[in-house]
Amino acid sequence: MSFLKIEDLHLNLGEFFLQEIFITLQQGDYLAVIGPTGAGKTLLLESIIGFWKPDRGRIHLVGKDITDELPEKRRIGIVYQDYVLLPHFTVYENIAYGLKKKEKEKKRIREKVNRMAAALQIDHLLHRTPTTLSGGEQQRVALARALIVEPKLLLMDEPLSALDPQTRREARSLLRKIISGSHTTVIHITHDLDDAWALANKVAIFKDGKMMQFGTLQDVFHCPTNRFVADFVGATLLEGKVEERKEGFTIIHVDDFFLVSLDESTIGESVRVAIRPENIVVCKSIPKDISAQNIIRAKVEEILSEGTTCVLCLKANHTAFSVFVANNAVERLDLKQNDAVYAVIKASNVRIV
Amino acid sequence: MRYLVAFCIVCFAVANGFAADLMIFSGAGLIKPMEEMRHNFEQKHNIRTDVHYGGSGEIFACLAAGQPADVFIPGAEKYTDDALKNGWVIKETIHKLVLHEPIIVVPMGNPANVNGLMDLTRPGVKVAVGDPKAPAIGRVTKQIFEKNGISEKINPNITVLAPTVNQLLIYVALRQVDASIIWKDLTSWAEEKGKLEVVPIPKEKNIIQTIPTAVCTNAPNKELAVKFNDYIASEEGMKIWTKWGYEPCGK
Amino acid sequence: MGIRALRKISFFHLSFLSVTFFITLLLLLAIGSLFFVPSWEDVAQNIWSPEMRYSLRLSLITGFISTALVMLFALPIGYALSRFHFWGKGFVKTITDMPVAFPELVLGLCLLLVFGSTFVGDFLNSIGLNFVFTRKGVAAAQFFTALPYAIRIMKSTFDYIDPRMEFISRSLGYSQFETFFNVSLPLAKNGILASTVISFARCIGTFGTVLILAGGSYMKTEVLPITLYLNISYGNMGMALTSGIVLMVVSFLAIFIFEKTEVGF
Repeated sequence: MSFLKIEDLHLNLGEFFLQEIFITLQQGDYLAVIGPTGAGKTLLLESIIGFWKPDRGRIHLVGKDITDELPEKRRIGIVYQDYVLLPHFTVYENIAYGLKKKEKEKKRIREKVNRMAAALQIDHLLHRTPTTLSGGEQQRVALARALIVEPKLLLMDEPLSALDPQTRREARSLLRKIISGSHTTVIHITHDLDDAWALANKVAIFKDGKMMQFGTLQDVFHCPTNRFVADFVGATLLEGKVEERKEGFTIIHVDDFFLVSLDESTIGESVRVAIRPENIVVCKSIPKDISAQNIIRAKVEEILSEGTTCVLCLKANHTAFSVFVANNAVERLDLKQNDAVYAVIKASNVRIV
Repeated sequence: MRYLVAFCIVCFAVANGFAADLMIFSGAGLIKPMEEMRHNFEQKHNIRTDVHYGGSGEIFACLAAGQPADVFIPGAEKYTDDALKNGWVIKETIHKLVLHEPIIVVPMGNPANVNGLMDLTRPGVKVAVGDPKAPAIGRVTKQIFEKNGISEKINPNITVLAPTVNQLLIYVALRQVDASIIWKDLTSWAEEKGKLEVVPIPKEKNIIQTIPTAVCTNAPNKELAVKFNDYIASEEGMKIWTKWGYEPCGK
Repeated sequence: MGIRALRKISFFHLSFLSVTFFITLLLLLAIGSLFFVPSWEDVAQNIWSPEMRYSLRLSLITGFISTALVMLFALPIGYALSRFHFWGKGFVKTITDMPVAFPELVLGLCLLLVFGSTFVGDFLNSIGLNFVFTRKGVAAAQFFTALPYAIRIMKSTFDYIDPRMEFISRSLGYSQFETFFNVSLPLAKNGILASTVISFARCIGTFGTVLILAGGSYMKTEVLPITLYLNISYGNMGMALTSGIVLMVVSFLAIFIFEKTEVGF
């Protein structure tokens, strides 16, 4: 039995809308919902929590249809990007707020709040008011407030986006520790692929109110099923035709070269193959003594520096690839625009989608 | 700087434009004939006039506060008498104009069947009267009740003590009270026709007032003030008074 | 160039500031004259006169009652207008706003008509609520005059409160009513205070509506503005000025508190 099941969800609020959303999660799953601004990601969270009534479709949580249930009965927690702490309460009162509803004994509330605060390293802030806290501190208070009532499902709307890079890295590892410790099922909205890599086991990609792909982290990142998802997760998606099957390899004719894949297919079929940019190795001369099956001649079209890594845009005949290369590798290889290079790819990294 | 000068000129022009040649203080009840006479007078002499309408007590208070006025036309002689005592009006210019006759008004259909002063004392009849201290009608009403010896008996029936005479008219027309005492001339207003019925008070039981006019001692424009004062008391003026339901008092 | 730009700014400042100060000075003079024209013994004596004591007491009692009622209605109405989307919302907003633009006298006349001899009036009469020419009528007149202001302030107050604060409360298990009392109301504290103060000032200062609906009878439905008007009619300037001063003090306190709460329209 699935833990959360969203079936054919439709919601139209004019400016924002959702269409044909199907999501199934198991207990303990961590789903990263990724997509550009305005893709309807927040709308998805607010439909699940019950602030919007869907126009069509049902939402089931632990086998129960909760589509028409009041938000206060659903036991779903939410953490917003800007935390939305209650400014007229202290940090302690913010965390204890949800607990007070069902727990009447003051001593037990205090114990629980203290334990949660210690776990999130905010025990020294309990007497402060939210407006005096830093972003990272507020984020942890918001998380504590949502987690303390032990929600069946935790929804987070870009919880890390407003933090500076250092705090974000710390928050990410703290989040991983807390969530994996509590076995909470999570839906986490982000536009940062690193969040998904670090935390999620499932990924959903959204665009213009529609879900472009949903699956495991590996599936979505390595086998994007359409151009949009491929571009979004940074993979190269190529069209080709299966030429030959030999010794467990599938040989695909793409453009004017051949790619060898480990995935199975039938001869003569038109297929699409996906290659992740970090799985391509660039060499200046044909490398010797390597196990990789694919060695493709290409030309360097462009070199884009992104901090510590570079994105190389390669072109083999009419086909463009993007490749991640460390900055120092570019220097060592003395790569320049229009250089002729060889792209080396293992057969296991050429995925038929 | 140019703008400031322009601003000053505009201010001056506007202020000048509003300044009237003649300032008249009139009882609020006299508004209909007064507007007509003022209009005629303006055309004849090619001047501007300004009329301040208010309760008789109110315009008296304005005079007392030293506001400049040329002609003073209150709703009862008491006010010109008091003004004369204080030296605010010129004795020779006081004219008696028209009669101001109190009558009983009842809503159309006379729901409480009021046919005379005595009926006002019947238990359960709702009566609205003017505040004895505010509009001229209030004071006169009180005197009428005293004259007829019903002051005590009518007290429980007085539902509302209105500060202005116009309120009395509204309350009767909207059937909020069963009867009120107002000036006869007010009932001749076209807009109230079909909403009110008039029950006259016999002369011997009534106290009929005279509307006076007078020129103020400190009138800024005494010459015009005397002209207007005479005009409203003239044959021509009387025609207008009669048209609006007033009875000339025949000097 | 720099100097010319500077001069332009200072002329700009100067002209706007002089207009501002001109009006402020004029208002100050107008307000001040109310305090300095009458003699203080006169004022003291007038304040202790039975008429003034009656009028002040009635003003305060009706003012407190109608303000309490105004807030009791303005809170849910303001919240509904701010948060809910419902059929006819624009219409409701226009109608509840209308009395702001209405002259008080017209409002008074409308109320007189509806509370008079209609089925509404008859029904209210039968449950002991007679508003025509009564002290209850004073409170009713004040209520309807002040209510639109209170609704406006409460609506804009709730507009400024992030609805997600309420979402959060509900996601933590609190019902909509509990959320309203735990979150919305405490966060609207300043707006409620401002709204109460403005309503009270409006109630105390209502003249036209009270005059028409409650009659403005001497020592019966006489509140402070009526006292002021009656005494102008009587030619008793001392008494009129005294009620003016009392009204002014009440309004000043109201505006002062309103400014302190830092909530505007």
